[in-house]
Amino acid sequence: MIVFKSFFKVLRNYKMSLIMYLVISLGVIYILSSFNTKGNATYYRVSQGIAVQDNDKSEISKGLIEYLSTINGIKNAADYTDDQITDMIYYTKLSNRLLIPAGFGEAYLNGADTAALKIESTKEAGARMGYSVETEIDSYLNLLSGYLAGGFNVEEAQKLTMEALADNSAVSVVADVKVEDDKIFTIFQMLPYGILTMLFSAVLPVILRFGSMLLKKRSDISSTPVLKRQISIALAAGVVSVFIVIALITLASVLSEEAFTGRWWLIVLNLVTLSLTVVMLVVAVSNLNMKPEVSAGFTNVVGLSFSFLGGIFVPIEYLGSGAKVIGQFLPTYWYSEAMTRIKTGGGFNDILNCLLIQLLFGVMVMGVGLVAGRCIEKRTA
Amino acid sequence: MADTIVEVKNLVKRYKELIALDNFNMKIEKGEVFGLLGPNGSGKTTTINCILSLLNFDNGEIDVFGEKMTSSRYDLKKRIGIVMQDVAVFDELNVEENIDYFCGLYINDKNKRKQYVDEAIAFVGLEDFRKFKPKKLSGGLLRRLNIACGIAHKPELIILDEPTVAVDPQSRNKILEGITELNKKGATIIYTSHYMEEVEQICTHILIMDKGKNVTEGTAEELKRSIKNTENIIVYIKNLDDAHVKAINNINHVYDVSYMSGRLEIKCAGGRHNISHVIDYFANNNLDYDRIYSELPTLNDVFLEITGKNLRDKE
Ligand SMILES: Nc1ncnc2c1ncn2[C@@H]1O[C@H](COP(=O)(O)OP(=O)(O)O)[C@@H](O)[C@H]1O
Ligand SMILES: [Mg+2]
Repeated sequence: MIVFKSFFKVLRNYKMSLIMYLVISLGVIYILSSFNTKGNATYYRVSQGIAVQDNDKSEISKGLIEYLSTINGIKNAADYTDDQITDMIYYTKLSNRLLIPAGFGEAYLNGADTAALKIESTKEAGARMGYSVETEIDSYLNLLSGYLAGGFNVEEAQKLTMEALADNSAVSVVADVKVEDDKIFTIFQMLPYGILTMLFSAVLPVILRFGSMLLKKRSDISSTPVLKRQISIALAAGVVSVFIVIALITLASVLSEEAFTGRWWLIVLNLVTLSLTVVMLVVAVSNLNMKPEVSAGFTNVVGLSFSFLGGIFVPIEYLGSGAKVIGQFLPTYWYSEAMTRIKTGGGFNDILNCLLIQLLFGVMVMGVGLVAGRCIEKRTA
Repeated sequence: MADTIVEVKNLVKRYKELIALDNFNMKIEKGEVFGLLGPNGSGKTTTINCILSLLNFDNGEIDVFGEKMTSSRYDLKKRIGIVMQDVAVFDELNVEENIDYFCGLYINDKNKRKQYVDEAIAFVGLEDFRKFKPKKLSGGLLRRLNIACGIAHKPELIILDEPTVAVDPQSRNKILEGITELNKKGATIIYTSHYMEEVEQICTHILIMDKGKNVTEGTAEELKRSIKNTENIIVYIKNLDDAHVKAINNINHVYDVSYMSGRLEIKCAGGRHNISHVIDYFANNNLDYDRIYSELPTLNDVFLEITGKNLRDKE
């Protein structure tokens, strides 16, 4: 009991860290969500590689490709084998592969709702960048049909559409609606940073303090069994972690004005899984018999590297293929991946893999931590 | 009738090649202030850690309160209080909270604990520092906190491992008085130190150890009586010839003379009026000296005579 109670007394000393990282997390959420609404034009202007196979070769399809080429780098799909294209997509040299079906232009002009109207877009599962190309296509075709309906001929309408899209405001109007809808994703996407930093900066040092050599030795002599003390510490750390996670979920739900919807439950499940993984990481590190003062360094290194390489702050595709390869070994990457899948309508079965990989990571690191801790203890005994 | 509180039999502890404890024996009776005296590295802390089952040892037996001590004998641990050589407190907790934590490891009852914590604070004189964090305390006050954490639960056996290292004289006296007081209230004390003056001041039984072995033991009086050295005469005198040093060595009852940087130390075994014989020698030879005085042997002389070394490298 005294150990459980004293845990919170020691934790009191780290309340400034908790507040600081909460404020930073909220700041990051604020900046990134406002960036997504107001600065959308820049988001759309990111150049990506696209492999296009134009089986239509109509005026419409050529116009569309011309528009896409003003933003992106276009490659002719016919110049490459399927495997090459798949590889290039994997290594993020290409974001999408587009197949414009024969008869597309004609179907479009007729306003027909046929299969021929569908442009096939293949992208790396879960890659967030691929969506921007699809949005570009939608924007272009929507605007074009507007001009056509207004009585312009194809050539004029295409010219006007190009001009209108070159003007940022036209895009952001379209984008605003969409982003409003996705607020929950923008906000929850950032939470792993908050959970990582808060647990590493406040819970870790307290556990390390209780385990520090002299205090541990001093407590080992007492009449309170080791196991009883360890259980108390685990319990207290668990309570604090649960409290932090619940607080963040509540805050994020209020900010995104969404709760208890189907996708909300999936997102929360994803976040709880990640939190559990982070707790396992903290347990692993707390076994290494280090001074509590190292926590601040750990917080920065783990908080930033996991967030960047896991695609928490910016989509991993922006960081290049090297980052992506490393990122795949981090739980935050799979958190982001699950978020993307939920965003595109995925259900529990679609994200189950992502959840399991996160947990597997936690279990593995915790195992390594426990073994390493034993070795260190043996060497110092 | 004296009960044995701690008994250490043929204890052997090795750190790789180093033999820290070499068939060490020790017996502590109820009510004693037992002094474990030895130079740095002689094995005092190792002995304490073995008694407390903090260390595994290679051979021997340890009984505490008449029962075999193991790391899971929490009933025995409850009756022991320990003040470790290195201060072990939480930097994040204040004086009161620290004592409450360590007391709480032994005592669950909240009201009783509150009373014990208050008593411990008063005992070490930290009333004015209740809400202070350890970082804000001076070395002496920190040591007092360390002691309060060890004794708050009112143990029957209190082990203090060099509690006065790096402590100012005022705190040191307070600590020594406190230990005597705890003993008067009924606690048995084990006190380790490499300061012979302290050990002589408060201990009722002294065991001198060196290189993991029991050198000798008894009361301070018994130990001093056991050696041939009975008196040391110190003379401050400049430029004394070797010839004189040799001549003084031949004075009756003198068995050893050393002369270094103007300080002449003459060791005598038995005899009376030794100092007047020395003064006579200086008068007869027209030698002028600054100061002369005579001392009874100290525990250092005991240690020196048995091991050939000083307790501390520099006095
Ligand atoms: N963990 C350890 N590993 C190796 N040698 C040790 C260890 N602890 C103590 N020693 C050695 O054992 C001897 C006794 O040490 P110690 O019991 O601390 O002496 P004291 O407390 O009397 O100063 C010393 O020579 C010391 O260097
Ligand atoms: Mg020692």
